Amino acid sequence: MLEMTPTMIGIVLFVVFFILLLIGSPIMVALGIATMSCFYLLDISISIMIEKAFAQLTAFPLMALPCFVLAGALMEASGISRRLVHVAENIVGPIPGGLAISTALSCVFFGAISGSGPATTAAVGMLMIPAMTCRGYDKAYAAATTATAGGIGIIIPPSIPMVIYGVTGQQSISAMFMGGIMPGLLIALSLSVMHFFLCRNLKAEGLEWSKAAFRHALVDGFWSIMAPVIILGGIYAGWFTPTEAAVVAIVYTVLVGVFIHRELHFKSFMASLKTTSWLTGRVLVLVFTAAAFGYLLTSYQLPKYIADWMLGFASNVYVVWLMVVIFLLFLGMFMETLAIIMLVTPVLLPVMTAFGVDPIHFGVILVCCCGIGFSTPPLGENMFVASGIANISLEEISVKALPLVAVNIFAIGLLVVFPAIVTWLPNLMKDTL
Amino acid sequence: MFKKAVLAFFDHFESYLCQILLVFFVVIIFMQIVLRAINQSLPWTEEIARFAFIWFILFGACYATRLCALNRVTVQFMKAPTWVLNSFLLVGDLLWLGFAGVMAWYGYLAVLDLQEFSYYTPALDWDLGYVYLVFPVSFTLMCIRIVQVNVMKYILKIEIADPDQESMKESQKSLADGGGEQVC
Repeated sequence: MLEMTPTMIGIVLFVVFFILLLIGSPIMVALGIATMSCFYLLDISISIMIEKAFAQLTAFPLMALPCFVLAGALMEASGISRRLVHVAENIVGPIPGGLAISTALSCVFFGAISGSGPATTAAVGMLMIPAMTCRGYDKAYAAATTATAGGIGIIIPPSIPMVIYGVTGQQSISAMFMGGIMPGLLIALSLSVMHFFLCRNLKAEGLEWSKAAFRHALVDGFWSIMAPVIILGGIYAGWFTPTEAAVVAIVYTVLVGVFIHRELHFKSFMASLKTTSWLTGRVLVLVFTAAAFGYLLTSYQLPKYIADWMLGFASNVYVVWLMVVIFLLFLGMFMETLAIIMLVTPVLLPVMTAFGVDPIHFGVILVCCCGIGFSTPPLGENMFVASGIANISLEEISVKALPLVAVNIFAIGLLVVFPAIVTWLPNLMKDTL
Repeated sequence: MFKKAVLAFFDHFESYLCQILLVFFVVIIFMQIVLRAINQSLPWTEEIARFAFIWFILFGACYATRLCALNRVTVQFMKAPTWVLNSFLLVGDLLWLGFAGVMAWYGYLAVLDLQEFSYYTPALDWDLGYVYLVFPVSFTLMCIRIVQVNVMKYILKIEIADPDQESMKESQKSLADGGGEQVC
């Protein structure tokens, strides 16, 4: 067997991976075959793949993923999501761009029960896009608004990408969840400011704001508001792990859906189970091939070589950040979020910690960049969803989304420069975690 | 009629299995939370939930294979004619078939290994070999699904709907049914 240097392993690994990716084989297979071929060249038994699969796929924190997906599907079926969006809709009054701002706010609310970007866009968009277009907003603008705001869904906890980051990077998922709150709010705020600016001359009526309507939405949505309170409150108080919180959310949703809202039927319950099965099945098989890939990378210390190479021309941490953020935004245009996280974490996390970056800080920025990836073409899941709802072409949405994406990137810049925005809450609650 | 029902059952086999496993481990974890709250924790709840979970994932992957739902990068074919896309996808699927086959084989070897040197799980005292059975079984099933999907696509010329689009339509419908009021 030939002697392989770490550089050669790295080259084989990435070349095989990219070729397979380019011919359009599933990402999980591309990762798996790349890893397998390296094991073969290194004369390591492939049975290690089975061992890795067993170790990775029985990790308790990972179980949070199907549970949150199921909770989200059930919340939709039992009317919790709809009422939650109504509450957010009724908070912002008839100021310029009011409806666009309430869309961002709805995504913050909705993000607190759902861990997925496209799901947030779908739930909020189905209500807000028609509402915006019939009050005089441009259809493409309305779609762009929801697509960009939908990214907040994965930054505000609970968040499926954060679960994946926590598992692949071996970081505390609870700490990640806490770290996401302030950045999520910051991004919502910056989007709102942009909407306020862009819509300043728009003669669109906002929602007629009345105390009675607001109170009605609040009373009707009481049980919906309790859902995020239970999920997040339980995690923050240290009562449950994220996985357990998701399970509690499922039970709560079923109870509310059957006995209080009376909207959850047996048929939609079964449909939720079915969707959850294939959605999580396709994501989680990726976990084990990605884990084997990452194992190979780290055991041959490839991240160290990358860090050394980067240190050669960039000693300043901000220059490194700049390159990393640009790289992530670029990847986000072509690749699916969870695949990016699984692929990038084992390589970049050690590099960033070598530069003295806090792992939680890096994780949150990574997730924020993926949130933008949802609304950048050619592969932007949120845009697909929004264009499906609004019945408008991707190109038109992309153009309208440009200023919103720009302000979102600016917010990420702030997060990079001021890590305290991210780390403040997790540090505050360190004792209970 | 009976033959049709049997075929339909096998076509949805992993879907049913996954739904049962999903409900099972959600209930088990909930039980664990409740029991912990009243100080009656059982030692085996977490372990059995984790084993159900790995079975759920690997069969869920087979289900996703059957639905053609696995994530691929296909933007590079956006401007290419369909036959180019299809021939590349076919090559990709053949490689995938090989990968799943290798995994099934090594899974089988791992099960044999565990039969020779039995290992019992700490809390349930189960033979780990039975848990590992999921590897050969699910990856073999995945191979079958890959062949099935390609036969349906190229020989029987059956259009397979994009599951993401389907689920979007579904939720749009459920929203309309659930009394989503008129906005205008």
